[in-house]
Amino acid sequence: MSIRGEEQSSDQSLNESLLLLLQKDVGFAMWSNALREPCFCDSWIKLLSLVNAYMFPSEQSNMRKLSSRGCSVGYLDEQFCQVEDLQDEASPNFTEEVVTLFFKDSARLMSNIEQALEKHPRDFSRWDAYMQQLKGSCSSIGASRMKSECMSFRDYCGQGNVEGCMRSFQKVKREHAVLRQKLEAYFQLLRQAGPAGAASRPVM
Amino acid sequence: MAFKNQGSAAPRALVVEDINVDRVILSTMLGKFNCETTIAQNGKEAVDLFLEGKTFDIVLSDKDMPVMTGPEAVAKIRAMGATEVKIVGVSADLGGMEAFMSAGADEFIPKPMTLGDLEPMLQEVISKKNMSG
Repeated sequence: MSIRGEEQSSDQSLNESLLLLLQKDVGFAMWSNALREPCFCDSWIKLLSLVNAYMFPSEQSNMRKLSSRGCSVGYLDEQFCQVEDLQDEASPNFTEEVVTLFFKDSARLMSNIEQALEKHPRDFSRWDAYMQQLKGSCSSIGASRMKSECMSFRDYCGQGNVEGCMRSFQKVKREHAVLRQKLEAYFQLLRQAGPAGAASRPVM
Repeated sequence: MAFKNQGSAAPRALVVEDINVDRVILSTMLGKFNCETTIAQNGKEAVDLFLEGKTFDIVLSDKDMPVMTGPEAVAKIRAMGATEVKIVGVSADLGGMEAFMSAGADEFIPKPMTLGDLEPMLQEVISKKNMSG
């Protein structure tokens, strides 16, 4: 089954293909690989619209997991799905609220680190302690690439390598900025796709 | 989510965590298990709650916090005679396990904690509550 073929098909055919993929439980790898290509970005909106229009809530949850992974392959790990799983009808925007909180917290933690790098030269213990907190937050929302860079920074602290710490911190900041862009795009897509409402199966 | 709470009172949880996002996630997870959750933003706030006579069925504490760390708070809580409460150390620092266990914690869970980590601990707490009536 070709993903490109599905994109060219009617909405009805795409919906049938989606349901088939979910049933076969092979969707994730296929969608992730296919949708890394920029030309498929528009498909996300169509995909999410169909999810909301045609799928039952339990299927929507699965499909959103695929979507969030597809949008952020490599940047987010399974823990992000754990966060999404906490979202329910009582807290319909929970994931976005948590992500917003993460970026607020992480900006503050990074500012602490920046000040420490400037005002406490070679204080590897202090630098490490601050970075440990940032790493913890990254773990909590599944920000895997940011977490890796945090770990790299801590390794350099352990080695007493100032230059390594400085380079690594720049990477942490870059990953932070990229992750913010990706997640903003993801939530924008969700909003464009429309609210999740009661779904009825299409007549096949 | 199937969770066996045989009609007993909701488990009372204390979350000791200084980072907002971690606090929110953990509190929400506990909410899924119908826990009554109290928040402390550092070890000293947690100790103060015990000094005020508050009791909890489970404490989930981060390690590195301003004012007082998790292990320091755990040691003080145990020294106060609060030996029955289940205390769980939670940290992204795997080296924190030794610090927490030495201080008197019952368990250590590395961050990030998942619902799957929480469920058996809360089942244990509920069972203990049911047995003690």
